[in-house]
Amino acid sequence: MNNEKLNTIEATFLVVIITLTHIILNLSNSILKSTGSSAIINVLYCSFLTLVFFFILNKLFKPFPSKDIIDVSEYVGGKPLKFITNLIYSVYLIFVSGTLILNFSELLRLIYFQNAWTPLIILIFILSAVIVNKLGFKNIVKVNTLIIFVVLVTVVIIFGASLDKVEFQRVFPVLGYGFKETFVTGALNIFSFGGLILLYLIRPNLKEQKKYKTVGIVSILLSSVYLLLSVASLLFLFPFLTTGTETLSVYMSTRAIEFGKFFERADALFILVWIFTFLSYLSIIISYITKMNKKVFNVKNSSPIIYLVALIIFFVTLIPKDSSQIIFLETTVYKYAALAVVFVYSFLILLIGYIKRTGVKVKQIKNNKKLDLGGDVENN
Amino acid sequence: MSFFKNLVQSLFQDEVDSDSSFVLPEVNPEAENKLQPEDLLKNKNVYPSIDVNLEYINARFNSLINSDIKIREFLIHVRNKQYKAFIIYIDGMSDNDSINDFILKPLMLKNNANSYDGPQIISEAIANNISVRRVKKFNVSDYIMECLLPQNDVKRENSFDNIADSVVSGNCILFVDTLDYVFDISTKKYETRSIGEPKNEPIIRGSQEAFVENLRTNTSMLRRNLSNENLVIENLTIGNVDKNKCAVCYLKNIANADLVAEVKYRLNNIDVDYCLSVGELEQFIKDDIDTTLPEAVQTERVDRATSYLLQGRVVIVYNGCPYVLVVPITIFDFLKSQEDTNINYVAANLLKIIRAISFVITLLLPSLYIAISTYHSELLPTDLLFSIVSSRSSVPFMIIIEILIMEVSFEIIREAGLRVASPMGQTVGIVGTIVLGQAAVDASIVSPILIIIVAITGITSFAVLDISLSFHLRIARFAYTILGALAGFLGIAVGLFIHLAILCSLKSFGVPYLAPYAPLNVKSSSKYLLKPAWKREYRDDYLASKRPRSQSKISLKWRNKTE
Repeated sequence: MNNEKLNTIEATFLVVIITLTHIILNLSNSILKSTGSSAIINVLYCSFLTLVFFFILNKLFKPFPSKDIIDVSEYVGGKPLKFITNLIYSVYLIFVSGTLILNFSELLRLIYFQNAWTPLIILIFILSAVIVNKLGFKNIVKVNTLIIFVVLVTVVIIFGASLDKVEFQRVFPVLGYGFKETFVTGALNIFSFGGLILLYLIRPNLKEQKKYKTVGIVSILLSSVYLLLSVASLLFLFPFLTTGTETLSVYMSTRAIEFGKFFERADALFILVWIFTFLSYLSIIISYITKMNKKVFNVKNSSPIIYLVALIIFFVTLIPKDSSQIIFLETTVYKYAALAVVFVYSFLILLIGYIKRTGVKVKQIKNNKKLDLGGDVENN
Repeated sequence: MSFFKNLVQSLFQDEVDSDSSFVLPEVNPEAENKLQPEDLLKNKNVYPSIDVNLEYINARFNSLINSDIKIREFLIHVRNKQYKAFIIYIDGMSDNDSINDFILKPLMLKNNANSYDGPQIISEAIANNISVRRVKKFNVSDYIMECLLPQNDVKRENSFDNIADSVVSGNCILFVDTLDYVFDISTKKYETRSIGEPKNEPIIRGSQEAFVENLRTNTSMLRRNLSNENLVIENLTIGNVDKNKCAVCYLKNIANADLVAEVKYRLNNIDVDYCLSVGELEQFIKDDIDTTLPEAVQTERVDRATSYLLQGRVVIVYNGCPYVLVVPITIFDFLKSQEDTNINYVAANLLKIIRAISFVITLLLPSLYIAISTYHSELLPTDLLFSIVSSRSSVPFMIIIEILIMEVSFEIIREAGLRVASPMGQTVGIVGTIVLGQAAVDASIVSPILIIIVAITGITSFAVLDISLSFHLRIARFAYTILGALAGFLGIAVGLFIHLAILCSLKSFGVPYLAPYAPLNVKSSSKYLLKPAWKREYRDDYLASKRPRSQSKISLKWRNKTE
């Protein structure tokens, strides 16, 4: 098991890749649509809220060293709650990953493989993730750590390369659709940090428990920076009111980039890097679903769970009938599912667990004091 | 007349099978070894009777039919007494002069040493006119060992298995009547190739010594290059039938003890009849047996092996092979040249970057070409795209077929050039590449741009120094080409992702194959690019060596002017 322990960098990148994958697709577009020209302020605001949320989360996790949300659920509500939490998490992760892969595969089909069958592209992704999962969790983490640098660099390149075309006045009006849309309803955009779900699961894998806080803060900050860059490049490049495209928001930015006369269009290179991101993302998700279920059902061999999870994800991708359903799933359903699972349900479980644990501790201290006093009286 | 007779006979007579009727019986390919009569002779010890020993030796060494097994019977003179004795050695593997002058002469000829029969008084005391003398007890074996064998390397042995090993390695064995052990005398001398220049790892500056086939010569070269008493050279035997010697070399004060133990454990637990080379040996001891990637460096350079020893790695020298194995390694070791440390670090790093680029080109260029020209043509400048399209217009094949034709042809030319005699090899290369290449373009079998792609790939593959890694790249290149043809960048990315995961899963004697990048160790001292010579303060941290530091913090003490 020690082989599966992660150092701080590996754990941080694991969390970041989940958020980055969402950014690559429609996250920035979704934020832009809901807040208008105040998207940048909204991202900064949501990042701040997420940081505050994480500080509370870290505090709540303190009485549970090396425990993940599944263990805390068991502590709170016994095995039934453990099963329920596992089910909620598994369904959520399968649904989100299925939707994302479907969306990205559809994008690939539209751009490069017009004659191909989308499920075939999805199958390529899922099969690759299964093969890599068979090689072990630690190897997925290692590959993720290697490729994330390239992914992060591409986001910076997209922003940097489009600088000559940006119009900074598009940031006005500063408050976009208004104060309420930016700071009240806009607070719901905290769902952009739905990738933080891994922070609930990653604790048993950490080499040093003390670094959990660092992992959380750095991953939130990195995700914020990249979300900010992608939102900024979209906002400054295209008038937000005219960004009617529902998919490929960051891809739109890449198409606007020109690298001199030789590379007239370099968007295929970005797609290449994003394929890596999605492969890594899918592998991590399958790996964590397998880990959770292995733990809950006390299974020794993880291979059957890997196959089963992969199969379910594949079937989930077959559910949406058209693009509008995919977009609805990705923008609306995902938004509220992320808020419900990551920011409400898990938080409540932790809160109850924390109260229960501290309550038990207070009781123990009181009992000890009583015993001490009793002893003193007897001694007297 | 006889001609016509023969003609008629040959026309009307059935063909007679003139070939030999000898055939070997069919056996089950998975049959277990049966006990042979020779096996009954094993695990025996020397008998006190010389006649029994002689009979046993004759049977074991088949000396009646073996022409080079020499057995010489004679009488030994020991303090004027005679003992029956015989020696056994292999002609051509032992030094005849040494046997004659330093074994047979002192033992057979009468001289002061063997004819003296006086009392050997150790001490004498006289008390009350009675003299008490302590006389040394006479022991034939000790006497022969101490007085009659003027040799530097003699040991007693009583197991016939060990005796057999010594004889086949060139030693001379002396049997003496009444003794239940023998004298194993080192008399090895056989023709070997002299030390030459490295043929496959040439460098411009630096040592020009290469290993040879002889184990002892190789270990002596290591000793000469590495002047430290902590260099340990442990001998092991590999193989049940061909008991070949191999030496495990390491620096006791630097190499990790667990690593050394693991290497010895693996080598000691290879149950095979024979192992003929280090290449074969590597396959027996590697961690991941299914991968085509090498997990040990094979080098013919003495200085390279020495530098690895100094880092804390283990070098395995194998008798009969002019290459040594170095373990553990990472993939980046295959992109290193001994030249790198001999030149300025900036130039060395430039070379290293070029090698890394060559690595990527060798692996991916054909697949990238096919992916870009088929699926992602928008990446190319319009002029170049037109040029490619027009050059391909007369080619009747699909681009994947075109690439496979050229790749397979190139591999055939390379293999043929390598296997034929060296003067012919050049001709094959010239005819294959220039003449056939040009003809293929003229005949519109392939496009000129593809010739360029395959040529660049071929040339860059030579910049990847290690031949085992080069084989892996060649195999992987075919896979990437097919993936690129099937799904463009998607196929290549999927291939790369799985390939990377496989690389991450590999280990060489406990060291991750992509160390220190996967798992990522930011603080690691052993990065791919070289630091200046005076700043290489630490050994590779993933080796967990006993002396992590190889230089003091300020190695150039002479620059410290304050002192």
